[in-house]
Amino acid sequence: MNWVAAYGLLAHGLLFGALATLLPLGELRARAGLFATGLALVVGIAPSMHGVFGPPSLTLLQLGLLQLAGKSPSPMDERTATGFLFFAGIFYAATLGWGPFDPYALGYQPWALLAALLPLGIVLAWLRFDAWLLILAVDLAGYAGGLFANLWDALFDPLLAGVATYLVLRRVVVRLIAARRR
Amino acid sequence: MASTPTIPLPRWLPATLFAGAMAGAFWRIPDAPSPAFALAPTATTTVADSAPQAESLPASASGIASPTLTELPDGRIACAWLASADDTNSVWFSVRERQGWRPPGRIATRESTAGALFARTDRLDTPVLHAEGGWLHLWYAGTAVGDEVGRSLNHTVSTDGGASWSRPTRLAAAPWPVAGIRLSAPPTALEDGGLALPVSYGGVARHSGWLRLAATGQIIDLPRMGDSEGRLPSVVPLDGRHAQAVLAASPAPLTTVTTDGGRSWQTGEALPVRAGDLPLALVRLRSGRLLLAVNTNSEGKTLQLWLGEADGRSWRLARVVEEASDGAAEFTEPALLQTRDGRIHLAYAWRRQAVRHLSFGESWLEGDKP
Repeated sequence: MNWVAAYGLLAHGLLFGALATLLPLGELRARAGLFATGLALVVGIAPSMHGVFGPPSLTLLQLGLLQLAGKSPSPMDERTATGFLFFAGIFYAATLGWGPFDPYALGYQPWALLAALLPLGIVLAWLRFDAWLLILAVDLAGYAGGLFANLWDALFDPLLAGVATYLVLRRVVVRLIAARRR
Repeated sequence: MASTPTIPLPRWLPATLFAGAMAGAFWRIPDAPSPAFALAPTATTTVADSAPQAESLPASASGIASPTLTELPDGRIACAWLASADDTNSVWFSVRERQGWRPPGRIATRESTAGALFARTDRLDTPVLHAEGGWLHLWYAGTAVGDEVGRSLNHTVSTDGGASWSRPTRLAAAPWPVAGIRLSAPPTALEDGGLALPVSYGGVARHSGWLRLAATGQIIDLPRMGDSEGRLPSVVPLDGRHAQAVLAASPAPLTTVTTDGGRSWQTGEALPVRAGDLPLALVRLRSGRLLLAVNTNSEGKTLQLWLGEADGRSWRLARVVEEASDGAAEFTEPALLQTRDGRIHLAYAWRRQAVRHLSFGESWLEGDKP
């Protein structure tokens, strides 16, 4: 059994289920999420997502699980999403070839990355942002357990950037609509 | 981050879990000794018969592409290539026995890849074969949708000379599977027991990379190969720290060089070789000279062998392997290998109908008439 491949498949199934819970189904949202998860695994949606996007990050999976479990509000709010998008924009631009430096390569020997995450963890613990601290702990545990060869892949992925983009755009649209109504 | 959900946990628990995970992550970081190239040993025997021998490999399916060669521990030559049948392509494999090439068999299909990776796989691409002791490695690209969407790099291994293969695994060679990753040449052996694979990335911002693998197979680095613009690189070590990569480009192949074992690469000069923008092959011969197999234009109607001095700066045309002008003429995607007995092997896709195998001694390259 290829555990990394199994993780990718199952994670995409759960993420599809989490997506389904965004539908306005009221009390049926939880059941719809579970049904969508099973459907994704059975009819090929999860394998297709896995093939196109690769295994999702543990951060995205954990946020999806919280959504699936009905835990709201999500740790990923608009301000967090905006900050993450700013970082991801620079990261992916550099990784895709713009500029001489590839930050993705740092993730294979992540000494510097772990050194940067240590003070971040201390700040999160000090301010009692326990949700993000636990999410980060699970990310690091996933990397330590061999689920990811590159630490960046455990922390975030393009789908998470897509979720953040949606949150930021939604906030902009809501503000525009509110401004027009005044 | 004002609105995080409430988690009724003891204050010390999240911080303790974080600290433990951080320690585990530090412990997991693979060792990465300073890289140095392992140069091939000198030929133990001289090639008595330098005359070229040409043959076609046994038929597989149609749409032959991307042949790749390696030498097994017992001296036999193994070849893998892509071939298409029923709108799907597969990786085929054969070994040259004493009496000729064995009937080929499929060693990787889109079904077997999808089944192992639990991910949709539409097409396979650019296989690369490499023998490392008793292990036979195969790397190949896979695409989830069509030719470019969801490309990934996969790896499988055989421990019985290619008779059976392990379930393929995906390599984390890019942060985004749509980055158009392609393989172009066999890996270079490193002194620490690891390997380094040249890869190219297409998509929005093209570049080429040097995928360094530890002896355990773990990826430990991925430096950029200069201003490569995603061109397909083929690499030869010149000594323990220096190597030269030749990149397919028109009207002349470009170069990029490293002086620190592959940690960083700098753009070099274009070769004085007329070439098209098609995959080429490069090998360092036991004599120290370099041999380049290249198409002279982007249509692939002429395949030539160029011989270069050890410093990679001066080159001369050694042989014209194939030359034709008809519409179906296409002699592309060469693969070069020099075996331990000193003989040189060239494989290429012949008119997309067969894999052509040409073997010769180095002295054949010294002939008067190319």
